[in-house]
Amino acid sequence: MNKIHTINLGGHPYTVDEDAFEYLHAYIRSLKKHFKSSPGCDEIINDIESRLAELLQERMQDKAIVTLREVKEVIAIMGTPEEFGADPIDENKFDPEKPRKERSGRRLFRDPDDKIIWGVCSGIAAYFGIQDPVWVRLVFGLMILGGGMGLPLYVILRIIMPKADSAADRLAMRGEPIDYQSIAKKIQDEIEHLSGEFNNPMDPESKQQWDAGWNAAGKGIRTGANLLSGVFQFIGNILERIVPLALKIAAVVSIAILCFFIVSMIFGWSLLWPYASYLVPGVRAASALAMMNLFFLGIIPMVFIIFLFARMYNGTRLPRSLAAGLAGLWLLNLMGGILFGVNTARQFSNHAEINQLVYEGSINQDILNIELGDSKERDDMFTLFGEAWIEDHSIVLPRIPVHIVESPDQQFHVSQNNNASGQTSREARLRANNLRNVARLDGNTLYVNDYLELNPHEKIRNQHVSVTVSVPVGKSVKISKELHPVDGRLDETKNYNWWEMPGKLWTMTKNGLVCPECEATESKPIGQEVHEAVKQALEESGNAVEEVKERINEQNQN
Amino acid sequence: MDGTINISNSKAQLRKGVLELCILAIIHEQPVYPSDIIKRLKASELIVVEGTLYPLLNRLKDAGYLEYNWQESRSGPPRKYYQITDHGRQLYQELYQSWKELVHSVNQTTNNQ
Repeated sequence: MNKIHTINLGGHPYTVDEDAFEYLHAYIRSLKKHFKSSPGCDEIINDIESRLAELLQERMQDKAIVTLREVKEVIAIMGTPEEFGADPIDENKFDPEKPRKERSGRRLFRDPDDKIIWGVCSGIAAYFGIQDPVWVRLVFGLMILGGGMGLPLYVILRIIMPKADSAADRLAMRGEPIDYQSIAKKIQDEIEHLSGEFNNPMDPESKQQWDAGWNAAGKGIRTGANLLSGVFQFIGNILERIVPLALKIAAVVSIAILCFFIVSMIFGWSLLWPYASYLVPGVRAASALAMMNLFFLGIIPMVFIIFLFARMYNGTRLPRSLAAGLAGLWLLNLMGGILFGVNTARQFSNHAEINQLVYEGSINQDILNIELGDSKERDDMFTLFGEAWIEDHSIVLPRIPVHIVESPDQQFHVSQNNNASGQTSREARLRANNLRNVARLDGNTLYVNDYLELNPHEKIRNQHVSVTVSVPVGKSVKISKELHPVDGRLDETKNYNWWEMPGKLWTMTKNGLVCPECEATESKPIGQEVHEAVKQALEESGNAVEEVKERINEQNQN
Repeated sequence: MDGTINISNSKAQLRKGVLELCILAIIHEQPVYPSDIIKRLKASELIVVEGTLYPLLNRLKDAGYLEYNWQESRSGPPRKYYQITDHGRQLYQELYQSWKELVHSVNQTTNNQ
C-alpha cells in the first residue's frame, strides 16, 4: 500500500504515489539549490517542470498513477542532479526496503497568489486550514496596533517561511520544524540569497559600476546575517540548557503544590462534611454523594495535571484505560454536581420576610435597657467561616443585628424580623415563621440573644433574623457593652460613630439619637491645653525679663 | 582513473561550448519549441540529458539573443515558442564564422601531427 498525492506539474495534473512524489520533490529541490545563484532560476525550474510533465505524459498513456519507475525514467532523460553539477539525491532515502518515517502535515509557505504584503497571513491561514486569511490579518493588525509585537513577528515569519513559488512547493506537505536553529539558518540563507541578488544587477551594461558597491553591500549584509544567526544560536544554546532544568524545577514545584492541594482538599472535605447535609436537599446519603462529587471534581483534574508534568518530565504516560476511566468518572461527577447544584439552588428560589411583634407599649422610666440574652460558647473547630456552627444537630447562626429607629408614635415597639428561603413561597414563609424567638422583654430590659439556633436538622436556607427597636422622641435606650452589632439613626449634626453606642444612654430626638453623656465628657484635646499653658508661662516669664532689664537700665542711668 | 574522468570532463566542456552555437543554428532556421530543439540535438548526439538545455536557453534569452511567446498546445498548458532576434542573428553569424575558422585551425593542427 502506498499513499498518493495529486500534483500540478507544469500545468498538468498528476496522481503520483508517495515514493514518486518524494523523489520528484527531492529532485526539484536539488535543482533549485543548484540554480539558486543563476539569474532566471525560477524560469529554468518552471521550464524543467513543464518538460518533466510532457515526458511523463508520454509515459502515462494508459496508466493512472505515476510511480517511482516513471519518475526515475523521466529524470534520467532530463538529467540527474549530478549531470547538472548539483548535489545528488540521497538514494538511500528512497530505498523501498528501508522503512521510512511517515511525514505528516502541511508545510508552512507564504502564499504569493493571495498576498497583501508578503503573503505570510494567507500562508498561515492555509496551514491551519482557516478559510479566509482576513482573520489572520486581523490578528496581526491587532498585534501591531496593540503593543507592536506583530511587526517583528511578521518580519521573522516572512524570513523563515519560504515562498510557495513552484508546483512542487505548493504541494509539498513536508514541514520544517520552526525552532531557533532553523530560524537562524533561514535568516542566513535568506540574506545570503539577498546579497546574491545584489551581486547580479539586472542591466549587464552597467555591471562594472554596480559591482563594487553591491559586493560591499552584500558583504555587509552577510556579516550582519552571520552575527544575527550567531545571536540566535547563542540564545538557543542557553535555552537548550536552561529550559530542561527550568522545566524540571517547575514540574517538581507544581507536583508539590498539587499534592498540597489534594491533602488540603481531603482535610477541607472532612471539615465541610458535617455541614453538607444541612445544605443539600434530601437525605443524608445524598449529601454524602454531593460531597463526593465536589471531591472528585477537584481531584481528578489535579491527577491529570500531575501526570501531564510527569509526561513532560520523563515521558510517563497515564494508561489509556485509566485516563478514560478517570475522565468518565469526572464527567459523571460533573453531571451529579450540576444536578445537586441546581436542585439546591431551586430551594433558594423563593424568599419570605416576616415581622413578629415582641412588644408594644410604654416602658417604666422611659428608658429601655437592651441586654445580651443567652450566649453560647462556640466550638471553633466546627465554625463555618465564623458564621455558623453545629450543635446538637442544629445549625447555630451567630450575631443578631439590632436596629434602633424612631417610633412613629409615643410608644416603644420591638419586633423580630425573620427571613428564610424555600422552593415555594409557602415553604419560605413557613420556614420564616418557625424561626425561634431571639428577643424577650422583662420589665424595662430587652434581652436579645447573640445567636439564632435553627430547629434540629433544619437545612440552611438563607435564614437570618434582626431585631428592630422603635424609640419614641424624648425617650431613651441603653445598650449593653456586649451587644453587637448594633446600629441606629444617629443625629447627623453631631459626629457620632455607631461603635460609640454600646454602654451609653441614647435619647431619641427629631434628628435622631443623641448622647448627652458623650458630650459631657467632651473636652479640648490634651495637646492644645499644654500648648496654651506653655504659651502663657512664656509670656509671663518674658514680661519678667523685660522688667528686670528696665530696672537695670534705670539704675545705670542713675 | 583520473584520466578517464578528465577525458569525459573535457568532452562535456567541448560539447557545452558548441551547444550555444547549435541552439542558435536551430532557432535561426525557424521558431521552435524546446522539445524540437531537444529532438534535433539528441539526434546529433550533442546533448545527453535534456535539463542542460534550459539554463542555456534562459541565458541566451536574458542576453537578448532569443525571445519567446506562449503558444497554445493541443494537449496540456501553453508552451514556450522560441525565435531568434536580430541581435541573436548577428551573434550566430559571428559564432559560426569563428567556428569555421576554429575547425579549420584544428583540422590543420591535428592533420599535421
